[in-house]
Amino acid sequence: MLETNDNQPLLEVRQVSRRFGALVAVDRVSFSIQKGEIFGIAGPNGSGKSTLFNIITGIPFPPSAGEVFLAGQPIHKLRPHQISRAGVLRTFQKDAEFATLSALENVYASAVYCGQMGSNEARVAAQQALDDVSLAAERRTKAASDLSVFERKQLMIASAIAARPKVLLLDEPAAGLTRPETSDLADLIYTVHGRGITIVLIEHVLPLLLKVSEHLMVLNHGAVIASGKPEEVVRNPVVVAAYLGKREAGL
Amino acid sequence: MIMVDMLSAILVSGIVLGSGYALMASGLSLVWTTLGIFNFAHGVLMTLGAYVAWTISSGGGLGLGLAAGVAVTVAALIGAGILIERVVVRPFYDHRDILLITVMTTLAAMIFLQNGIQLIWGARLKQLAPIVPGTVQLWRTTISAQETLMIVLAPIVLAALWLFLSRSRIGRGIKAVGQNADAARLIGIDVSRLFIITFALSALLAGLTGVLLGSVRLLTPEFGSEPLVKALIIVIFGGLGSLGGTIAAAYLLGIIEATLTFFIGIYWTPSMIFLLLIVVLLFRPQGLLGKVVR
Repeated sequence: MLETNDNQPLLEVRQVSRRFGALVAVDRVSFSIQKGEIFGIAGPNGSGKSTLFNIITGIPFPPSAGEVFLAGQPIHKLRPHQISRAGVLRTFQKDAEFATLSALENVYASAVYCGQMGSNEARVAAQQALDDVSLAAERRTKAASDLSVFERKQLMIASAIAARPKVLLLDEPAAGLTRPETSDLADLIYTVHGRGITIVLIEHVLPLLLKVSEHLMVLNHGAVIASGKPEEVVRNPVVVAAYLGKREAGL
Repeated sequence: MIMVDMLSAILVSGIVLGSGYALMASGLSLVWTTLGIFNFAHGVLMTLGAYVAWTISSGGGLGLGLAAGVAVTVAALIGAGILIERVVVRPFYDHRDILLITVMTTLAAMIFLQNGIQLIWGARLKQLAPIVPGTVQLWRTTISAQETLMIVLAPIVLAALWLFLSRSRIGRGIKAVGQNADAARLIGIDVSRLFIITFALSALLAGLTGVLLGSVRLLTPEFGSEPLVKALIIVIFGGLGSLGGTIAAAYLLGIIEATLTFFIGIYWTPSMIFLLLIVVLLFRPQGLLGKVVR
């Protein structure tokens, strides 16, 4: 692994696009993220947020055009499992765990396959990751399919951090959570961040996004319409129009 | 005494049938659980295995003997399995209707290979020499040593398959991919590599069945058609996605078939088996050992 200088972004996305026939889901999007940042991405439904995560991780498809760099190294031509192993992990909106395996086995599998650890090291890393996300000890031996919505979010994040990623992409982690759980999720994001993991967060729940993000980018119709300090971005009239709808913005 | 002889004959021939079915159906089941598709070319892979083994080992072919026959057959079947995955399955992985599309493409591969076999080897009947010659007395019933070999070999091969899937790193990866391919990619598993391994392994199981049955039955280009249909029934009957269910169903169906053949004759047996399948699925839509998918 090459040493990186301080000015080099950890994750850099250059002019990436994804087309599905005539539909352009992501349209020449560029941004860069510094190491240690919490980078928020907002946008209305269908604005291309999740597609952007899909093409960065290659799961389930790569970009139609454009480049992605991790610490200066191109990763957009790598295969999905190679991108994961290089240190870019994500969570999904849908459940993405092995339903019949226990929570602990799920995290362990991630440490072994993605983190490339030996079995003893992986066992320690799995317990540590579950400690980090505060999943109750007696729930760890339960099958993933028997966990609650919030516990499955904890599990997904634990699986990711057990593999010691450089960047974690969180795809609407607050979806389906109650208000107190959303508040716990914010603490969880800070904990992961405290482990030295750079975070990219897609979220519909704006208060959460504004609370934790240090930088906010807004997409609409697959293109970047604003990017900057969160408190400035949310006052941008273009963003207000896109996010709240033209009718309310016009009032 | 006659009663005991009769039961013994039914049981022994049922277990012989079941052994072949279990080997055949486990390969089909493996592809289904891992990729979520049915490989209709699975039967013709069995035919191909038998023909390749005949060409290398038999006096009518190159006459190089058993060891060479097995070695070349293994290589050929791994190659054929990989080729089918590459050419008719891989292009459709990202497609929503992959199940339906691959019904067509693997059927096309089946017809292509079947006609290819007819072109290369001709329609004349062939038979492999038995791996072990002679006969064996088993529970008062006399069967060929080759059939005894099948009875012994099938559980060993299936146990090895089970150990491979549950203990080895690649085997566990294959099970993970079967449960959730995206989650498997996410944790750094090379999914397409495991798809290839799955197909190669499945083809190998079909080829092994072909080599074992090739000295018991006569080889024609349609040699694998009836075993394919039986294997499909068994995989559904046993419960989709359960290797244990597939194996149990294979032996059960073998014994049922032997019993029916004894009492109502070979003419009506196939239709009775289908009737039984329908009745079972009416009461247990998830199959014998399959779990209800929530």
